[in-house]
Amino acid sequence: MAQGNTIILLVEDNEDHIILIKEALAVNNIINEVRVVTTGEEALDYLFREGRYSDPEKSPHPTLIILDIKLPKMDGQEVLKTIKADPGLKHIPVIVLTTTTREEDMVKSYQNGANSYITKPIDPKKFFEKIKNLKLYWMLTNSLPRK
Amino acid sequence: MSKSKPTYEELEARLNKSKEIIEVLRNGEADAVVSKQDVLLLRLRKAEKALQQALKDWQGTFNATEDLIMVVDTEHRIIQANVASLTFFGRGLDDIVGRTCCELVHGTDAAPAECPLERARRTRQHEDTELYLADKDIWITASLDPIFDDQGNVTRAVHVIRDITGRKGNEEEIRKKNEMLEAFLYMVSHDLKNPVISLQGFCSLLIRNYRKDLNEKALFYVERIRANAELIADMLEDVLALTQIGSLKEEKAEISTQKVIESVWSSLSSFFHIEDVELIVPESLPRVFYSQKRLYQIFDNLLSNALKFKSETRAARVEIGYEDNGDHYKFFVRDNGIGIEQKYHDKIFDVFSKLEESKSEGTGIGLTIVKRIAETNHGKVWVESQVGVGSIFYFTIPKKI
Repeated sequence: MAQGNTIILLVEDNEDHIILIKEALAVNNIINEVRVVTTGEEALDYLFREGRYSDPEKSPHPTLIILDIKLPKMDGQEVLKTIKADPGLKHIPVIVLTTTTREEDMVKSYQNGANSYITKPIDPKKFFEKIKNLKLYWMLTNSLPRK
Repeated sequence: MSKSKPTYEELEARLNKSKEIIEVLRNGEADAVVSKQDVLLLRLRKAEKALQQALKDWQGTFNATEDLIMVVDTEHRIIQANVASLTFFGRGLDDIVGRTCCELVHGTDAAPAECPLERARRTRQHEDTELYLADKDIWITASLDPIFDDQGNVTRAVHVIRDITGRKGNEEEIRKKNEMLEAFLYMVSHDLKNPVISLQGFCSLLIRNYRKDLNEKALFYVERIRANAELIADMLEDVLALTQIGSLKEEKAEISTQKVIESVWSSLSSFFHIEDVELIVPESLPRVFYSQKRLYQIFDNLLSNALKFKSETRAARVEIGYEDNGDHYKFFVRDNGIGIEQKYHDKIFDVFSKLEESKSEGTGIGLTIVKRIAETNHGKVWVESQVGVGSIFYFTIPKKI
């Protein structure tokens, strides 16, 4: 259930990682609804309300987008660029997820407008910490979910 | 007028002439000698023959080589050209002599900026350059050796052009293969990371959320799975790091070695008991022009090693220092650890080399990373070590030019 219309859009193709990210969010008391899409194309369909996402009531704009940068076909950077080029979407904070510490990816992500960048959990505790920080930075500054 | 007696000199001259005549007769160069001019003529003919032979030898050599050889004047005009040149330009000698090499090779009147003749005129020595000729799709080296006159002025030059397309092709092929290998390594290690991250994540979830449902043995097994997953993740991270060094423009800046070492040392506290280790650092360390991240990696790897391989019998001491060697700084990290046998002093810098004796965990890539970083930044790294005494790792950083 969407709480106070605050939903998180998770763009991630790895099933396991979807579970782990959801767990990490839950552990940090982030209980907003998480909508999962598994491809870049689907993410843009959702955000631009195309096809089965055409009803704004059923597909509200997310408060936060968590975007895996390595996606099949259309890659995360393309999705990011498209979001940040759109006047109606660019205000939505985007956290980029990656499995590498490769500077190139990070620099490119920030150039494309990413609001934050997380390297996927080597140490889950650190991952939780980061998510915690994100809750502070992003969830608190936006409409907070009511418990 | 009575004929005066010949002088000593005259007599000697006559004697020499007689000697010459006798020699010519003895050598069978002539059957009889009528006048002294005959001898001169014979000698001249002989010299001419030798000259003609030398010319033939020279022309034979000149034309035998596959390289293009041309003799040019200081205005780039061709004076001589060998057969290879004629074939290359598809012109006869008459059509080449007098033209400039700029016109023939580049199709322009003016010499290109990289023309070795222009340089040789200034440097008065051998000059060469590599060029790509787009119209012919070939790579060449063009070299030039000046010829001097008696006064030491450059009057002519030997211009040699060699087709090196084959060699260049090989170099290009190797470069491409290297690139492919690095891209492959990157992809493999990147894609392998996803399942490893899942492994780590689920193990951690099990341990955290179901600790009380697992008995001691089960918990131990899960912990082992997690530790191994972590090792794989570290190795993949290191392989990734290795493929990245030098692959992109690294942000270099004037950075404080002191600060880098401080931050490395404090981060090591989460992996090692550094409270028991004596760290000796000079009061001041130089600022260097380097990538902060790379210098961090160097000290991180060297200091981790010093802590990993400490002696079990004496208190660990790690000393960091440097020398200012004019155009570069030489840094060292000295430990009093177990030391490394002489035969491994080079091997330890090879990728995945872990010494058999070493029981410590690690990926075996750390020193390879250090070497790659030092070398891509025009420096060196090496080790001096004695078993049971300790090791000193040195690396150099050039000063900003």
